[in-house]
Amino acid sequence: MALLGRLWNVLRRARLDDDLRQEFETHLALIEEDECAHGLTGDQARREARLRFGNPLSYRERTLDAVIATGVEHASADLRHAVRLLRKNPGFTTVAVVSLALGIGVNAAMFSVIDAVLLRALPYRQPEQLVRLTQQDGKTDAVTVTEYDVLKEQNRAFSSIAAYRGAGERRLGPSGGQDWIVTMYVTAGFLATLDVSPAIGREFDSEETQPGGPQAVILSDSVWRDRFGADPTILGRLVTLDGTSFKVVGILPAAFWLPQPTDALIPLRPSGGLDDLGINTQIVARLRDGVNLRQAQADVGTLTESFRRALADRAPPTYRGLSVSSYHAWLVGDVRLNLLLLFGATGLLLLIACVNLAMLLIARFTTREREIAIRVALGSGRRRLLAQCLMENLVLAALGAGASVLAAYVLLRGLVSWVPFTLPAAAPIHLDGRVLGFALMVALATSVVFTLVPLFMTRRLNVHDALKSSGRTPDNVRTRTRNVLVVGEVALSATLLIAAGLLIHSLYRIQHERLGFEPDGLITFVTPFDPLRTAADRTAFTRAIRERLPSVPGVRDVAATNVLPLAGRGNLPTQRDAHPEQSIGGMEIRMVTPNYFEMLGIPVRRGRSFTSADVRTSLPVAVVNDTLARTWWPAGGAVGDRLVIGMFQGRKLTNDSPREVVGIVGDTKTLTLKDPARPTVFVPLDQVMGDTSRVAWIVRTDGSSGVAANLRSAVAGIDRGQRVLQLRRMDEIVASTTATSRFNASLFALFAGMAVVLAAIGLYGVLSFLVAQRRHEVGTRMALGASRGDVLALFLRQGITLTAIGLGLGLGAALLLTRWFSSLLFSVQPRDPASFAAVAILLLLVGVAASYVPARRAASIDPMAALRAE
Amino acid sequence: MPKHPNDRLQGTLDLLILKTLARGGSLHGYAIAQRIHQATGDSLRIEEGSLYPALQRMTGDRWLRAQWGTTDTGRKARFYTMTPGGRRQLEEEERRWLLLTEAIEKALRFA
Repeated sequence: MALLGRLWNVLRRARLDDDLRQEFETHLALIEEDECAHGLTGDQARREARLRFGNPLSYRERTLDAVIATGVEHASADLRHAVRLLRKNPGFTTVAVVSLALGIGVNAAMFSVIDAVLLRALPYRQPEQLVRLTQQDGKTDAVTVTEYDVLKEQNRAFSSIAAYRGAGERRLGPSGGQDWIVTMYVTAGFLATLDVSPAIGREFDSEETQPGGPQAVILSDSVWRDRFGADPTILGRLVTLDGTSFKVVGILPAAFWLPQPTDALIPLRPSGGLDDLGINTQIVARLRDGVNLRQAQADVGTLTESFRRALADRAPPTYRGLSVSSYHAWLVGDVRLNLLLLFGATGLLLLIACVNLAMLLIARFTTREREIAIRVALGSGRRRLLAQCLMENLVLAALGAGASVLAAYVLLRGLVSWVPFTLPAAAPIHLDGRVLGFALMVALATSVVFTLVPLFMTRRLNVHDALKSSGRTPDNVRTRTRNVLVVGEVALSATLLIAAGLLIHSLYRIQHERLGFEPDGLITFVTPFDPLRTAADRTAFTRAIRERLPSVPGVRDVAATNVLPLAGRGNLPTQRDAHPEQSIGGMEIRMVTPNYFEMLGIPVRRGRSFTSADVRTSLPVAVVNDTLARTWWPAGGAVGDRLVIGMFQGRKLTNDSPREVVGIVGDTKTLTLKDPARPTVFVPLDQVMGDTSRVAWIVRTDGSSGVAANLRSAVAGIDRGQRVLQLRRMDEIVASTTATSRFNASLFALFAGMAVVLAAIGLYGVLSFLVAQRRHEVGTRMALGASRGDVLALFLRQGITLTAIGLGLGLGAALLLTRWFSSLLFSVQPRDPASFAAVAILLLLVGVAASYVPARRAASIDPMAALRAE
Repeated sequence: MPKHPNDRLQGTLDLLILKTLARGGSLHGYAIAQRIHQATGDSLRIEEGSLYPALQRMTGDRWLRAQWGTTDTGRKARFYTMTPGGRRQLEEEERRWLLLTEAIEKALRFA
C-alpha cells in the first residue's frame, strides 16, 4: 500500500482497530452460526468457532501492520519514551547536555572568530596578491620616500604600489564646531592597488600628490551621507580640514574597509622633512598576475644597488635593501598565534566533553542492563531495541545541538566584545555554520558509538544471568573502558590547567614588573591642539592651565608631558653631538614640566632635573634616562655632554640647537610592560612650547570625588573650544597594557576550570559505579575484619591512582606542547616548575575530593545488608 | 511494476480474492473465505490472519471497495466489491500466474 496512505493511517489506528474488531466479531459469529447449522450446540459452537478463527489480537496486529506505517508509529513511541527517560534522569540529561553545549559552543564561537580573522581573505580582489614592503635589515620597518620613488620607477614585479599613513583627527568644515574626523594620507594609486574604485569621482592624480600641488580629499561614504546629505553634486566642492581647503574629488564605496578606521583620504606627499623617513608609513603593492612572492622578492633584490645609490650617504653601512612579505599576514600576525592557541584549548575542551558523554552513556547502559534483558526476554526484537537506542541518542543530540547553538551565540558575542586586541576582521564576525555542524557530528558520533557498542556486546548477553545478577559481576571490558576514559579526561584537564597556570604566572610577573614610576593617585588627560592655533596661543593656553589648575578643588599639583608613559610613542631621530655614529632614529622625546619627575616618583640618578629657570631664553638642556646613558656613555660622562634632537647620522633635519645633558633619571617603561625601557630624552616643556601638537596633563589629586568634572570645567573655563580627551586614572593606563595577557589568562583559566569540573564529575561517576559494583565484596571484607577506614582508603586509593595516571600523562603532554606558548609568556619558562607543581597538587586534591564521597559511601555500607543483598 | 515485490504467496492470495469477487456483487470476509474454500474443492482454506490483511491492503490500493452493511442474519459486516482498477489488477495477476506456472512446468519437465 502506498506510503502516503500508510502514513495517514498512523493517525487512524484506533478507528481502524475498532472496525476490525467489529468485523472479526461478525466473522466469529458467522462461523458460530455455521457450526450450529452443522449440529453443534451454542457453547460448543462458540468454542469451535474460536478455535477455527484463531487469535483475533494477533490477526488485528497483522492486519494493521499491513496498512499502517508502523515504522513511524514506532518512531513516535520511541520518541515519547526517550523524552520520558531523559526527564526521569535529570542529572544525567543535564550533565550530558551541558557538556555538549559547552564543548561544542565554545568551539563554534572560537572558530568563527578564527575564520573571520585568519582564514577569510581581505575584501579586495585577489587579496593574496597584496604585499607589504619593509626594510631588510629589520632594525626599522620604515621605507623612505627615496626608496619608494626608485621602487615605483624601476620595479617589474608589481602592477601598482602605494603608501599610506594615519593623518590623525582633523576638524571638518564648513560644518564648523567640533566635527572631528579621522583622516589618512594615501598616495596616488592607493585605491588602484587595492583594486577598488571610488563610488563617485576618482583617485588622487600625480599633481595632487606633488609637494605644493592642489589639495584634494576623498570622503568615506558615511561622511558623505551624514555630513553632506549624500549630495550628488559633492564633487568639486571645497571643504576645510583644520582650516585648510581641500577639493572633494571622490567618494569611497559604502562597503569599503581599511585596516584603520578612516573617514577621509588626503594626498600623501613628500614633505622634505622627517616624514620622508617613512616612519609609521606602510607601503603596499599588488603583485602582477603570475608573479609570486619569491619572484617579487628577487626583483626587489636587484634594486638594492639602485636604492643605495639614491640614498647616497644616508644609507647606513648595514643597508640591505627591501623585503617583500604578505600584507594579510602582517595584519593578523600579532593575533595569529594567540587565536590558534585558544582554538587548541577549545578543541581539548570538546574532546573532554565527548569523553564525559561517553562515560555517562556507558554508566547508563550498565544500569539499564536489567531492563534490556527483560525486554529481550519478552520478545523485543533486536531491531526495535536498536531503533530505540538510536532515538534516545537523537533526542539527546538534538537537545545538545539546541543548547550548543545557544551557547555558541552567547559565547561569540561575549568573546568579540571582550577581546582586548583589535581583530582585523574584514567582515562582522558571525557564527560559522560549518564548525557547528562538525562539532555536532563529533558529538553525535560519540554518543552513537558509545551506545551501540555496549548494545552489540550484549549479543552474547546471557539473559538469564543478566536478570539474576543485577550487575554484580563486573564487566571487565566496560570497567576498563571507563577507567581509560576517566584517565584521559584527567590528562586533558591537566594539559589545559598547565596552559592556564603558565599564563596566570606570566600575568603575575607582568603585573609586578617594576614600572619605574608611581601611578597611584594620579589622573591624566590630554588636550590636543587645533593645528590652527599659533605657537603663542598654545603657549598661553598651557601657561594658563599650569597656573589655574592647581587651584581647582581636589587638585594638589599639576605636571605635563607630550606623551604619557605606556601611552604611546613620541619619537624623533636624535644624535649625540659630534658623534654621528651614535644616532637613534626613533629616540623617545618627552617634553616635560619641571615637576614631572617628582610627580611620577622618577628618581634622579645624577645631576639635576629641570627647574623653572630652564626657559626658552636660557641654555637648551636635556635629561636622559638610564638606558640612554648606558648606551651612549657606557663609561659615564653623560652629564655635561651634548646631544642634538632632529639630527641623524650627521644630517640635520630640524633646527633644534644642541642641548646640554644636565641629569640622568631612572628608567620607566615606555610602551609595554613586557619590553624594557627605551632610550629617552627629556626636554623642558617651556623650551619647546609651541612645537607640540598636544599636551598630556598629570594631576595629583587628594582622592575626593568629582575632581574629574572639576578638571573639565576648569579647562573649559580657560578655553571653551578645547577638547579634553582620555580623562582617566594613571593606573587604568597601566592596566590597559596588560589587557591581552589578562584576557588570555582568564580565558584559559575558564577553559581549564570547565575541564576540571568535567573530569571531577567523570571521576566521581566512575568511583560511584565501582562502589556500587563491589558492595558485596566490601561487605565480605568488613565481615572479615576490615575497618571502615580500610574501606575508605581502598577506594580513595583507586581514585588517586586514576588521577595520578591521568596527571602523569597530562603533564607529559604539556612538557611537549608548551613550547608553542613561549611567545605569549613573559619571563616564565614554558616548563615552569612552579606551574607544573601547582597543577599537580591541584589535580590530586580534586581527585581526592571527587573520590571522597563515593569512598565514604563505601565505608558506611552495612556489611550485613551488603552480604544479604543479591 | 510488481505490487508484490517478494511475495509470491501474497500475490496468489490477491489473485484468489479478486477472482472470487470478479463474478460481481459484494461479499463480506467470511463469505469470501467460504467461496474460495468451495471453489478450490474444499482443499484451500484461507487463514483469517492472512485474509484480512490482504483485504485491507487491497482496499488501500483501491482494488476493492469496502462498505459497511448487514448480513442476512442481521449482523454488521464490511462488504467488499471489486473496482475497475481491481479488475485490471486481476488480469495482470492472472497473466503473471500463467507465466509462472508455464516456467515451472518447463523446468520440471527438464529435471
